Formats: sequence, structure tokens, C-alpha cells
Amino acid sequence: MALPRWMIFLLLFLLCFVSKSVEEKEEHEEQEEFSEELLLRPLPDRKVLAHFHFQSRVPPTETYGRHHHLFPKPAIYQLVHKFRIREMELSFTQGRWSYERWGGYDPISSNNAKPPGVELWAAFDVPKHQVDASWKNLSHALSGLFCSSINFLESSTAYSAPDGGFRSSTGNMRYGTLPREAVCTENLTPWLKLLPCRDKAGLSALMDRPSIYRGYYHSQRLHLTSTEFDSTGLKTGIVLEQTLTVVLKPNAPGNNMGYSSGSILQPSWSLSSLFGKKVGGKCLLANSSSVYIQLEGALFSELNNIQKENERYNNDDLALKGSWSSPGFELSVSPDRMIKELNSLHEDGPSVLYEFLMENYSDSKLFELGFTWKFPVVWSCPRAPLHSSRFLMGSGNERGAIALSLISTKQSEAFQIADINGERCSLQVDVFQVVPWYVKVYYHTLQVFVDEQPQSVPDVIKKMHVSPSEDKVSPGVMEVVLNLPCGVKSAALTIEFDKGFLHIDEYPPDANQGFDIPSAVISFPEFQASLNFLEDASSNRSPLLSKLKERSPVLSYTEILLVPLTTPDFSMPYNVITITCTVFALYFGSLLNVLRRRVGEEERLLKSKAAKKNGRLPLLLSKLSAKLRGRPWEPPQSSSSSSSSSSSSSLISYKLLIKIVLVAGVAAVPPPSMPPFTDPMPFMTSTKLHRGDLGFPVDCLLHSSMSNRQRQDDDKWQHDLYKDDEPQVSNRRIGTKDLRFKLQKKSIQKAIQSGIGNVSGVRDLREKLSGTIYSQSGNTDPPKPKPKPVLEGSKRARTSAITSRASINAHIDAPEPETKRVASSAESVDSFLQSLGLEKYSITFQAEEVDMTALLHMTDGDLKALGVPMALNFSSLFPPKIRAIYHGKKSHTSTTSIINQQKYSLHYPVVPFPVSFLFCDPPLQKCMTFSNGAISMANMVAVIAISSDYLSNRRHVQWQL
Amino acid sequence: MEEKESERLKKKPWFWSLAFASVIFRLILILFPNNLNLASRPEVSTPLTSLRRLAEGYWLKQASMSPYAGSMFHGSPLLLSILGPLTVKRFEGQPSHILCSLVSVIADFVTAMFIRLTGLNLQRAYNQSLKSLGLFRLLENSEIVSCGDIAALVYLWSPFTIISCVGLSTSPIENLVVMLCLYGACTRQVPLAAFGWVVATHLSLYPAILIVPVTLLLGYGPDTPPRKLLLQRNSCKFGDAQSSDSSFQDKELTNQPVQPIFFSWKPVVYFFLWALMWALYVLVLCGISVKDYGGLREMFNR
Repeated sequence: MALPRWMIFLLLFLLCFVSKSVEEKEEHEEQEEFSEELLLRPLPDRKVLAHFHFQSRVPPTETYGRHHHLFPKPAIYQLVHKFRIREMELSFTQGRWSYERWGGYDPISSNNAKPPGVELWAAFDVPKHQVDASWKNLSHALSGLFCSSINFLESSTAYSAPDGGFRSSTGNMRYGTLPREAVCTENLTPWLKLLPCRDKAGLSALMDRPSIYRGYYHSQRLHLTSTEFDSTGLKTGIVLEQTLTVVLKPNAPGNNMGYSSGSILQPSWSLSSLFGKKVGGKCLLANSSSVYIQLEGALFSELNNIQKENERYNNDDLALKGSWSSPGFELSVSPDRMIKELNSLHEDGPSVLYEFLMENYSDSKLFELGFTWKFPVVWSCPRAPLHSSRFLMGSGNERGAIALSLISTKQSEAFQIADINGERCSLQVDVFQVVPWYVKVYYHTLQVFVDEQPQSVPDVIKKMHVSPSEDKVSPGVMEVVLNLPCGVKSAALTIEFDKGFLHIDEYPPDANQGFDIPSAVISFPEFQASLNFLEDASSNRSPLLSKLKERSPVLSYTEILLVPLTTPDFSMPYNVITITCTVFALYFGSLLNVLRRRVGEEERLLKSKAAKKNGRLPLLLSKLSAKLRGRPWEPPQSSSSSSSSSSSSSLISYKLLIKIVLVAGVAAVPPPSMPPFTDPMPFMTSTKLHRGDLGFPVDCLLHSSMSNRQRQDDDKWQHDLYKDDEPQVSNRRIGTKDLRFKLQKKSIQKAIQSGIGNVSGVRDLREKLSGTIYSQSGNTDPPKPKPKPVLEGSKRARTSAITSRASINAHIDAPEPETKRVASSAESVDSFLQSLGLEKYSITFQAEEVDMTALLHMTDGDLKALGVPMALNFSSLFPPKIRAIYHGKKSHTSTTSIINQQKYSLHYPVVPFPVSFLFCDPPLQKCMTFSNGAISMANMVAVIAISSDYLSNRRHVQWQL
Repeated sequence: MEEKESERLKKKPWFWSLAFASVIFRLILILFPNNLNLASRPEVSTPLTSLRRLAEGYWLKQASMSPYAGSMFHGSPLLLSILGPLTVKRFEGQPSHILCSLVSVIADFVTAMFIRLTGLNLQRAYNQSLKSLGLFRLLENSEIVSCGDIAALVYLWSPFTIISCVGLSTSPIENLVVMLCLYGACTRQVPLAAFGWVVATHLSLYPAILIVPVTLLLGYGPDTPPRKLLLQRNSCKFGDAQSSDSSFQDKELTNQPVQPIFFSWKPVVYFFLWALMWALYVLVLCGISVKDYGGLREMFNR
């Protein structure tokens, strides 16, 4: 931007045009230079090669200073100075250059045909021991600069130090490739940013992304040469050369007219048909800007022949206005200059360049170059003396062999004939091959075949430099100089390798795709690819032409090899996990099933038989007698219970009884580590406590649970059994129930307030009463398998178990008993609170219009909102049913710790007795979580209840049994 | 004794026929190796014993590089200089591994011979102890199975040794050296035992534990008669004194009993001295052979 401004300044104020141009020229002598060129070349296979060439040069810092106008200072200049780069080349390539069809013996193919992916090589001007560090830093810097994963070249397994086999390098050179790197516009954009005009003006405006990336080959290259650190020699400063080589297929607009020769006319093309854009003048910052059309020697001579043939037919194909016609084709714009090659090595004849200077065009006068063929032409590109290809041999995942075959092309014969003049007829071929370390090459197995005959290695190989790969440290490098005889038709190199094993974290994400062996570089140092164009004064200025003139060895890259390696297979651990899980699930599931299902069936059988045959008379009688006694029914000894049950239901099979007694006995002396899976009911234990343990009458306390029990729809049998008597009982006791309940709660509350927290008051009460020290023994005691106190012939424990289950299962859906209960207790919230000693909050409750129904549904949060201190653990004060609803509302499983232990008073049909149970003791957490899965398998609600009262009062239980 | 043994040998031509049959079997397998492809099996030729890697190491050495460069070769430099040239030489039309296979066949055979000799030695010692006990009749009557022959045949016909011999591995040579060590210990040839032990340990580390049996063998002699037997002999000395043929026998009986019981330190000390000497020698040889390529340190690194 500085330059045009300066020019405008001159124009406006000095108004001397002549002096301006002179000055400009003078200034450019010592200033930065930028030039842009585009070379277009029709290819034999109906495609067009477009080669953009941008070059910017900055004079050496010593003479010029550090201030830059054109040269990308932050990106390149600092890079060069920081890492002391002498020469560097970075290329991003997509597609494979076809050496047979697009040429393998001209400067463009030698310099710009690159292996797919990323190739980076750099020569540093640092001491040898710093080269690796410089390389690593450079790769990181470039990775950031070009938005690509060049930083993978940092690892020592990814780069190599060529020693003479690659571009006659010195020891300060490093070479690395990433064959699998995908090239995308995000790599092109930073590349374009290095140009002074970006892609906004000049030739780079042609770079329409879709059309470029649609091409058959796309290689974007950045070459950097610096003489900043040369102590001797000519100082040219830093030269940044950016090229973009694209092979495009022009859209053939239906001119496939068959000619007599049978060949098809080549498709005509124009810049706009190739790129979809037109050029509007040059980039103003560029010193030179021109477009060339190159006709290869073979094509040109072919065209000349055609012209001679056709001269008599169409002696004058008059050019259209503005267009320019040559023997075989027509250009829509007449070229400014035609440059012919001098003393070409090719026997085909000299190639021709048509130059178009972009200075003559501007936005108003767009440059639109069209190229129209007149005749079908067939020609072939100059090719390298030997066509190289590389392939893998062998099978299996253990070993294989790399074969490199060189097949002579026709042209090479001609070269050899020309070469015979030399003292020794030989064809030198340099092979540079980098092999990753996991391909372990046996260098002693190198075999050379010339014309399909095995040759002894020293005869053919003039020089061989090998640096063997080291496991996980460095790749193997093989540099071979072959000296093949002149008349060689084909030559082949084979070398065997073993496939190594990678560590599991060294595999790429798509390990099954295989691993790439980078391209081998094959160069023919005796053959120089250069085009010597007729010198004229101005052609000196064109960097592209001078580049073409440069003598560089013919170079070609082979294919990338894809080596399949053994890949880790994760199906084994997966199978192990699956099988283990299956076994566990089957084992425990079936165990639970067996334990549960069978007992349940037995019970059902028992119940139905008892109900059918005996009726309920004995049962009722026993209940009645127990009630009359006014004490909790004390279960008789197990023998007596069995006898009583047998007497009550004579049809119970003897076998079943034995089983029951056996299980009860086992449970009475439970194994210490056994989780309570033997419980037939949904892991809920119910224990009868001795009435004396609780210092108050508890028979009526269980009344609320009575109504709970009524709602058990899922347990039909139990429902059937108790349907009749329950209403009576509840009706009878409805008056006293609340009072007593509250009394109980009061005592619980005291216990809570004494700082015990979750531990329910009942236990502490009992603790106090019994005078024993209760130190969370439930936590330490192993869970005791709950036998069936439930089963013991009579059905009372069962009912309690079911009731408790009912209360725990949050699915309680019966509003009817609830309303009943509410009605009974509807007198007031006040009295309830009073009974709890919380009279002072009654005003709050009244203000919020909380009646008993609403109170039932209140959660901790609600109460907190009311201002009730949570230290009270209010929720635990609710009667069991409320608790059930309460917990059901919150969550099903996670409340186990809250209800660590809860005292429920369950109504026993005949003699009310206290039953306490808890959801899960801390030591039982495990079995809780485990049985979660098991129970859900059995389609049950995940609940475990074990009574720590039971644990602490095993004496009673045993007695009861 | 030797006459008897030779007679026994004549009586048992089966040993030799079987031994040669095994050698011929190996040769046949070597001549048709392509079907077997044993050399590539990791069970047969480990990275330590693979001849292919040895050839690679030799090639690298010839290319004036360290044979240990490239983490291919991990073996001994001595083996490299012995077997290396054989890997390169090839006959017309023959694969290159023939020579090495022949070497391993020979090594196997020699190992078998050493096993047999060791067995004979042990048997002789046993006979001697029997004789010293005066149990001549037992000696004459009992047809003692020659354990050495059987062990040698087992070695020769063992599928593992056959496969490792055919499968281009250096393990036959290691076996040979180990056997050399044991043979030297049994025959009380201390330098031989020390040499075998040192070289075996050098080639592959695990024969180092042979130091225990070798020391015991050298200390107690080839076949230590159990103490009980000696006591028995002492007790029966009185009873059999008259029945014994000569007074010389008696004298020997009276003199001998104390000797074998005690551990004789002399050969053991000699063994250690020899072992030290051989170890130094081997190290010097190795140092010379890898001198140009990083020296001994690199060898120990691999």
C-alpha cells in the first residue's frame, strides 16, 4: 500500500512522468521485488497445466535494513532469521503427478511435481547439534503458519537427515513428509496471505477455490532461499518463491468432431473456462506480471508438420480481429512476444513460449485468453529416462518386501545414445528412500535385478548409504546410487522387511487403513531439466524463465505405499466384559429368582389352602386371644409355631414345613457375610419387637399402617386375607390413634433433638430403656439374612412385611384411606403441632393456610420456606404413610440414608406389635445397589430393608423363631 | 571299563544308526526349507537367536556401521564374526542359509556326543562307587542302561532341537556351549567348564545360573555316592572282609570313605579363576571386534 501511495504522491506533486519511471527503476535495483507469472501449457491428455509463479525478493539485511514493504516480514523474514534457514521448501499436494502423461523431463515436473501430502525439507545454517532443535521449532512454526499438522514432523521418527541422496544435501538438512495430510483451502489462504496482493488483484485473482481444487493435481509450494547467513559469495537476500501448480481439465464444449485421422480435437479453453474468472490487470505491486503459454517441443514440431501438410488447403486462415492465429491453434489475444527455446536437448525440437504482458490490461480491459485448437494433435511429453514405480510384495502381517522397478521409456534410449559419447556408458540413478521404523528393513536382503536378471549388488550399486531405523527413535534412510548399464530395459530393487509392532497409543485413529511409506525420490543427476530460452534483454527479468533455465536434475517421486500392520483388536476385553457381566447377571438373577419365586409360590399355595380349608376362624381366634391379652403376641418357639401352623392348616405339607423351619433356623444363625437375599419378600425385613422394649403401648400406633395395608392391590393374597377385619380395627381405633401416634412422635422428636440426627428416636428410646450402649451396631454388623419370620406358618409377619413394602413403595395410589385419615385428623393442624411441641409454628401454618392434607404433601423445602427449623427433621415426624408419600415424591432410592432407621408401628391382625425396619444400613449399601439391578431384573422395586433393631435384638428374634 | 563300553557299543549299533538318522533327517529338512518357513517363526528364531538378524548385523558391520545400529541385531559380536561370513557366502544355485544350517547340524551332533560322553562319565563314576562298595556282582549282573546314549538320542530327536536347528537359529551353538560346560564339569576339566560357562553366559544370559550345578559338580565330583551307601558299606565292611578278593580292595575301602563326602574347594577355586580369565578373554575379543563401532558399551546396551 505504501508504494501506490507514493506513486500517487509523485503523480500529483511532481508531475514528471518520465523521471518517475526512471526513478522507479533505479529504486527497484535495491528494493524488494515481486513478480507474478502464470504459465499455461496444454497437456497431451486433453488437460491444461497452470503454473502460477510468484517470487518476492528482499535484499540482504545489511544493505537494505529491516524495513519491508512487500516481503512478508512476520511470517517469513522472522522465520528465516530465527531458525537461520538457508533453504527451505514446503509443499502441499493433492493428487499424483502423472509422469508419463504430464511430463517428467522438464523443470516444472522436476521441481513442482511433489508427493501427495506435505513435504518439507530445510537446510539450516546452524551447528550440527542444533539442527534438530531448529527443525522441530521450524515445523511447529510452519504448522501454525499454514494451518496444517506439520508439527507431526517434529517427532524424530518422522524426519530424516539425508546425506547426499536428496538434492545433494549437506548434513544440515532435514527432510520429512506427511503422506496422509489432506490439503485444503485453509492451507491455501495463509499461503496467499504471503502475497502482497493476496488474491485480490493480479494473477492470483484467478485462484478460484472450487476450480483449483477440482483439478486433477494441485500442488502448492513455497520455496525459500536465503543468503543472509552466507559469509561468502553473492548476497541476494531472501528469495521467496511461491508456486501453485494445477492440472485442470477444460470443459469441452461439444466440439468432439471426428477427424479423418480418428483422433479427437483437443478441447479448447480459455482462462475464464478454466478458472471461472478473468484477470483484470496486474498486481500493482508487482514488478513484472505476465502470462505464458508453453508449447512443448513435440507439440510444436507436430504443429509445424501439420502446417506444412495443410498449407495448400488453407493457405490463409485469416485471423479474426483481435485474435492471433498460429498454424494449429488460435489465440484470442495476440501474444506480445514469442520466445523459442535454444539448443534443446530434446530431439523433438525446441519448445515455444508465448508471452502476454499483463501491464497492458486493467479492470476495464480484462485479459481473456482463449486457446482454440484447429486440428487434432497427438503428441507426447518429454519423459524421464526411466519410469519408476514402487510396490509391495509378500503377504500377511508379518513381513513383506518393497520393490522399486525402473522401466526405461523410449526417450531414454535416445538419451543413452547421446550419452555413449562419454567415456563410460552408464545411467546413474539416485534413490532416496525413507522408511518408518515400524517397517524394519533388512538391508542385507537388497537385491538388484537388471533386465530381470539378478545382479550382484556391488556391480550395480555404486554407493549406498544406509542409516538403519531405530525402534521408536528414527526412521530408516536408504540412499542408493545405482549405476545401470545404458541399454537397460528394466531394473528392479527389492528389499525385505519385517513389520513391527506399535504401542497401542501410537496407532492413528484409522489404524486399519494401513500405514504409509513415504515416496521414494528418484533422481537422474546426469540429466538436467532446463529450458534455455532465447536470451533477450527483458527475459532476464522474468524469474519464471530464469527458473526454467536453471539446471536441475530430473527428479521423480514414486507412489506412496500403504502397508497394513497388525492393528489392536479390542474385541477381546469387550468379550470378557460381556461374558463376565452375563455370568454375573445369570448367576445372581437366577439365584434371586429361585429364592423369591419358589417361596412366593409356596406362600400362595399355603395361603389359598389355609383360606379354603380352614377358613379364617382359627386365625381370628388366635388374633382375638392375643388382643384380649393386651400384650403383643409373643411368638411361640419355632417348633410350636410349626406345630401350630400345622394344626391351623393341616394340609400344609410336611416337606414345606421342614423347609420353612430350616430356612428360619439358618436365618436365626445367619452367616456373617451373607447379604439378606434369602428374604422371600422384597428385601424387607420385619421384626417383631418385644413390647417391653418400647415403653408405651404400641398396639394402636400401628393404626395408620393399617390403612396403608388396605391399599395393597398388588398383593392380592394379603389383601384377601385381611380385607375383612381391617376396617373394623381401624374404625375402632380411629379415635385414639392420632393421640398415641403423636405421643410416640414426641418421644422421637426428643431423641432427634438430642443430636442424634438421622438415627430414629425409637431406637434410642429403646436404647435408653434397655440400658445397652447402642453404637451404630447396625452399620458394623453384617447384614443378616432375613429368613421368614414372615412365613412361620402364620401370616402375621408377612402382613407387616407387605405393609412396610407398601409404605416404602412410592406407588401408593390410594387417596381414599388418606382422606379418611385426614378426616379423622382433620381437627386441626394445631393440635398436631401441639402434640409435637411445635405450637409456636401453628400461626405460621395458619397463615399459610396449611391444613392437614397440605401438610402431608409438604416436603422439607416447603417446611423450610415456612420457617420451621430443619433441625427437627420434620419429615421424620410424619406417620409412616406420610413418610412413604413423602419419599415417594422425592425419589425412590436415594432416600435410604435419610430414613436410616424408622420406627413403624404396624398393626398386627391380632396383637399389635412394633415392627421396625429401615431401608438400608450403610453396610448394606452395597447389597442395596447391587440388588437394584437384580430386582429390576425381576421387575421389582428396588428396596432393601433390614432392621437394625432386629440386629440389635437378635435375641428376641431367635426367641421368636 | 573302556573295553566293556566298546563291547556295549558294538552290542548297540542302534545308537549310532539313530544318531545318524537324525542328522540325515535334519539335512533333508534343510534342503526343503521353503515349505516349512520355520526361520520366520518367532517361536523358533527369537530376535536374539535369529540368524537373519545376525546376517543383517554382519551386513551393517561390513558396511562399516555398528552391527547394533538399527535395533536389529542383539547377539554377540563373536557369533557375528564366526557365523557372519557364512551368511554371505552362497553356493551356486543354493540358498545362502545352507552353510549356517550345516553348522548348526554339526553343532547339534557334537552336543549329542558331549551328552553321551557325559553320560558315560557319570556311569563310570557310578560303577566306581559300586566297585568301591564291593558290589561287583551287581555291576556285572545288572544290565545298566546307558543313560548317556539315551539322553543324546533324546536330544537329537527332540522336535524342539530339530526345529531350532532347521529354523535358522543360533540356539544349537548355545546348546553346544552349555553342554561343553557341563561336560567339563563332569570330567573335572576346569578350564573347559569355565570356558563353556563363560561363553554360554555371553551368548545368552540365562546359563549364568549353571554356576550352581557346575560348582557342586566340581566340588563333590561327578557322582557323589550317597552318604547312606557309604555308611552301609562301612557297616558291611566287617562282614564282607573275608569275602573280598584282595587286601588291596580292603585297603581302598578303608581309605576312601572320607574323601567324597567333603566338598573339595580346589577345583571350584580353579573354576572361578579360569572363568575370570575366559571372561576377560571373551571381552577382549568382543572389544576388538566392535572396536570401530562404538566399543563394548554399545554391545552391552543391546
